[in-house]
Amino acid sequence: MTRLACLIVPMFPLAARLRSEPELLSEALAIVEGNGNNAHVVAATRRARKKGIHAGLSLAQSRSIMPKLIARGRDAECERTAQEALLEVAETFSPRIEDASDGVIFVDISGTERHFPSERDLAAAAIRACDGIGLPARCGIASSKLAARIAAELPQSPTIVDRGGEAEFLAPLPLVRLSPQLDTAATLQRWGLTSIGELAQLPESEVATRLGELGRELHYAARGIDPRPLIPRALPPDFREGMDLEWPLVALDPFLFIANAALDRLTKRLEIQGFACRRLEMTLTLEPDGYDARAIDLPAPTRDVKTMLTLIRLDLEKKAPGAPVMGFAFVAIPDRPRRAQLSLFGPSALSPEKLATTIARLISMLGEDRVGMPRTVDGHLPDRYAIGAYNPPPPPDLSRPPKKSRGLVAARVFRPPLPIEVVRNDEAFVAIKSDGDINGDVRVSSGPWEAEEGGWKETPNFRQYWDVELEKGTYRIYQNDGWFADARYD
Amino acid sequence: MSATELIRALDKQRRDELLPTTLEPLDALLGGGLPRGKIVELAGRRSAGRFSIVLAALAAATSAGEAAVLVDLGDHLDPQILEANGADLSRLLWIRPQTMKDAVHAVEMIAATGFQLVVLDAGLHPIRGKRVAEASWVRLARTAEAQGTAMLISTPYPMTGTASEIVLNAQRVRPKWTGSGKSPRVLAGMTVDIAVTKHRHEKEGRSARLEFVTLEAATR
Repeated sequence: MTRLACLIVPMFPLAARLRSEPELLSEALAIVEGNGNNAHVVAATRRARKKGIHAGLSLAQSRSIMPKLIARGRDAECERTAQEALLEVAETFSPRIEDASDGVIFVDISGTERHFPSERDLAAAAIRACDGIGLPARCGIASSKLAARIAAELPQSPTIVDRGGEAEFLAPLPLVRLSPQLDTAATLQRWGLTSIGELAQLPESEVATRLGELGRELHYAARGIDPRPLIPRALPPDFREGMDLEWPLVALDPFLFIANAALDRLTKRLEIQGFACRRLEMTLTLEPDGYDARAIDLPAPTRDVKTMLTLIRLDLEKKAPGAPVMGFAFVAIPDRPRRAQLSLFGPSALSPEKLATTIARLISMLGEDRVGMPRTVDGHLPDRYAIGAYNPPPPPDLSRPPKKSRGLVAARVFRPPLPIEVVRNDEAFVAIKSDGDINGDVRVSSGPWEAEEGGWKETPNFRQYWDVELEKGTYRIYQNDGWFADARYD
Repeated sequence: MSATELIRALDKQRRDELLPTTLEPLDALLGGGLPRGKIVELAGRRSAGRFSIVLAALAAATSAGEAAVLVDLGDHLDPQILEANGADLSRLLWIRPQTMKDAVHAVEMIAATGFQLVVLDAGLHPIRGKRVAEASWVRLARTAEAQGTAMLISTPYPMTGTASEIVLNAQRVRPKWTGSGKSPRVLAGMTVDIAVTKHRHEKEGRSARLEFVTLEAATR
């Protein structure tokens, strides 16, 4: 028999808002829907409820009761991301889950008996996991969706309905629990029915004759029969977090403060699924209208918030949005974090995730062209070089001895080459002068050696090189529209 | 012995191993190579062979399959010479900071990642950026010890203070030239004297002479 768990987040619009702005938890806050005179409360915090604010009151009525009430509009972005976060938590318990509605999720827990000592432990773990992402949830477990949902709605969470005990569980509950929007409630009350059990005791055909198909379904539900199957949802291709702001932001630091919290939530969700962020897409809603969309490619999948935040800062500093920001959304394109194979007898391998994070932070600190793998370049001029992405091969399985060094003299290349003044006597060098510390009489020199690149061009790069020994060092110099020192032998 | 104990024992053994530079006189001076988990400082003025020693150490480590980093403050690296020296460039991370502060910060970050050899070459005198506080070197020494990273700091003058395990001083002797009279002269190599000016566990004052050859002379 299939066993289903239902996770419900009571007052979901409020819970979603508090997940984004947890500092409002202790305030008198009301979530309102609608504008102007039509604005009405849909949910309120405990402090506001204690003063008499409840769902259905207009904002004007609420303010007359409590002038200092903080009102926030429903935030579709917040609610969507909270729902996604809830789904992802549910997916850590079972791959078969159904997205029923805002703040309501069904989880097929059949086959999870070996992972938890009891269903109550599973339900408690699910509640704890929801708390971990900032969503206070209730949980009910039963053999049908209806019973599981009603069990989850009860205040004493978690509620476990025994296998086959659905009818018995439902019997004492009031009829309104079957469906809050029950149109036939008044009719049933006129019949003198108050509990679900009383409806279940009536003959099915009689109820169907009087109330039609709806009556038959109600009777089934009252007997704990719910033939609706679980409809599993497909895995989303990306992870999204964002929110609409109460007022437009014009400075970078306040935006980064809010973005930090959103990225923190995003990475927690990625971690739950065993993913890391490979590419971060950012959409800014601008005032009065318009969007600014941009994407940041990460060197390797990472979950490091600091790195992502630094890259966002650099991106925004490089190209400002050009208008105040009214809202934002981050979309993380997930990828599996790279894993290193530990070696017992060879050199230790670098952690790919740690390496990617460090390289991203170094790039954000120094610039993209200043961190990478050195590469040789075909050519003739000695100062040529290239730098590429650092992606080292795995270390050898067994330690091996290093190759014997050839003991080559290294040339410290000057980038850019330093202009110098050369004093010559006939063909011999006499002295070298410069604004820096390349000064002195030439002791020994050798050359010239000719090097040319771009011979097919109209003006090929042709240079004549010499090695010169001064009292304070040995240099490589060349002539090409002037004299330059491009390396010191060191 | 359990698997955990085996891994710990192998890790300890790995940390006790030295990282040879394959320059025999220098390795003899260091007792076999660069010690893991310690800072070795190499100080020397112009053309004293510091960069040649740095490249030899990087070539030796990468050719053995170890991951290495060169934090190149002066942006002086010539990849052609490094590869000709036997280095596996695919295992080398090249970082080119513009100030000493960024360089030290980069070394600290990268050492914490688990690289086996981290080399900071501070370039030429005067060093770019402000002088680094001694506390930063002490922090680097702790990071190196925690990660088992061999750290080689190449500077124009001693900077690391109490944080280093060994301080070597490089002195240029003379470059060597071939050819005399009317035959063309060619720079053939360089002789460098290295002296131990500080060693925490051994006697100071020992020295060695290193011979380096130019690529042209080596391929002739």
